Amino acid sequence: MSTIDYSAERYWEDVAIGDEVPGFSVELDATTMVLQVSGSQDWNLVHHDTGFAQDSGMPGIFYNTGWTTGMLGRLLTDWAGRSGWVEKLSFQMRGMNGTGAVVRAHARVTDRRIEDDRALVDLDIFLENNQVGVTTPGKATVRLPRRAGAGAQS
Amino acid sequence: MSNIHPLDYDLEAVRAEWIGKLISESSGRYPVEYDPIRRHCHMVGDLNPAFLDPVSAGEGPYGSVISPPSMLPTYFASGGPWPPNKASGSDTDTPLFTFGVPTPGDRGINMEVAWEFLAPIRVGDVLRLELRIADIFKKPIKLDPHAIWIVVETSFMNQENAVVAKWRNTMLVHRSPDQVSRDAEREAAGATAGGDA
Repeated sequence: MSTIDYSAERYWEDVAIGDEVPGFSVELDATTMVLQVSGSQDWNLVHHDTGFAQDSGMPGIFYNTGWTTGMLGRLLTDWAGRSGWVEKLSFQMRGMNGTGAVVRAHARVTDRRIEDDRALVDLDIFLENNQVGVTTPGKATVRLPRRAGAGAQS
Repeated sequence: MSNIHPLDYDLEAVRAEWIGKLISESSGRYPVEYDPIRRHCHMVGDLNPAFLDPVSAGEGPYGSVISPPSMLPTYFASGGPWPPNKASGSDTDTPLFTFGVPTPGDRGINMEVAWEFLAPIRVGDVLRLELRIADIFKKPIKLDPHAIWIVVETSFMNQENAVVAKWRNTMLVHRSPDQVSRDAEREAAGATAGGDA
C-alpha cells in the first residue's frame, strides 16, 4: 500500500534543481495487462494479443499510451502534493514495456521559475524497465503553491 | 484496412488534402464519471483521494473529484469505444490509428505525446473535442521503409466552452512484415522491368 501523505503540500521554495523524485515500480504480469486494457479502454490488439503483436513484427504485447500517460501522471501527482498542478506532460515512446518487465517511473528537477505569477518546476521524467533501460523519456512542468508571504499563487 | 501499395501512395497529395483538416468534433456520450477515473487509477495503482474519494476531494483545493493528468479527456470527450455511437459526433468508421488518413500500412504505434492541462476536469463536466491533422510525413523504420507518421492536435472544451486540455500526438503507421514481403515482390518486379511500369 502507498505511504504517501496525500494531504501534504509541496511548496515551490522547498524544491531545488537536481532533486530526484524516486517514484515507484510496477511488475507487469497478466493482471496488470488486463488492468491496462480496462483502465484505458484501448482495445488495440497489439496491447493484449500476443499473436497479433508478433504478426505486426513486435516481440510481444506492449503497454499502451493510456497506461504510459497514467504512470507518468501518477509519478507527478504523487510528488506534487495536495495543491500541485501538472501543467504540461510530454514523452516519447522509444522502447516497449511488455509482460515480465519491472517498470520504474522516476524524475529529476531541472528548473524552477516564476512565470506570470505561477511558481513552476520543470522535470525530466522517465519510465525505465529492467529489460531495456529507459523506454520513455519525457518532460513535465508542475505548478506548486508558495509558502505564506513568499508570493501569490495563481 | 488500407493496404495501399507504396508505389501507388502519393504522399504530397495526401498532405495537401489532410493537413489542417478538422477530423472530429465529438462530444462525450456521458458526463465525466467516477468509475472511468477509478478504473484509470486502478490501472496504475494510483490511490490519490483527489481522484477517488468524493469526501476528501470535496475538502481539497478543487472542491470535488477531478480527472488526473491522463488520457481520460479523450475518453470523456468521445462516444466511448463501444458500442458505436454516431450521435456523439464521433466518426465510428474512422480507423483509430490513422484518423482516416490513407496509409500503406494498417498497424499503428504511438510515438510521442504532449499534453497541456489547463483547468480541472470535474465529475459531472461535459466534454467535447476538436481534432485536427497537424502533419503527415514519411520516415523509415526498421520494420517498414514506407512508414507514415501522423501528427494530430486536439483541444478539449467543457460545458462552459473553456479549453481544459490540449493534446498533440504523433502516431506511426506501418505495414506488417507479411505485407512488406508481399509489397516487395511488386517493387522487385518494377525494378526488373527497368522502368516500363
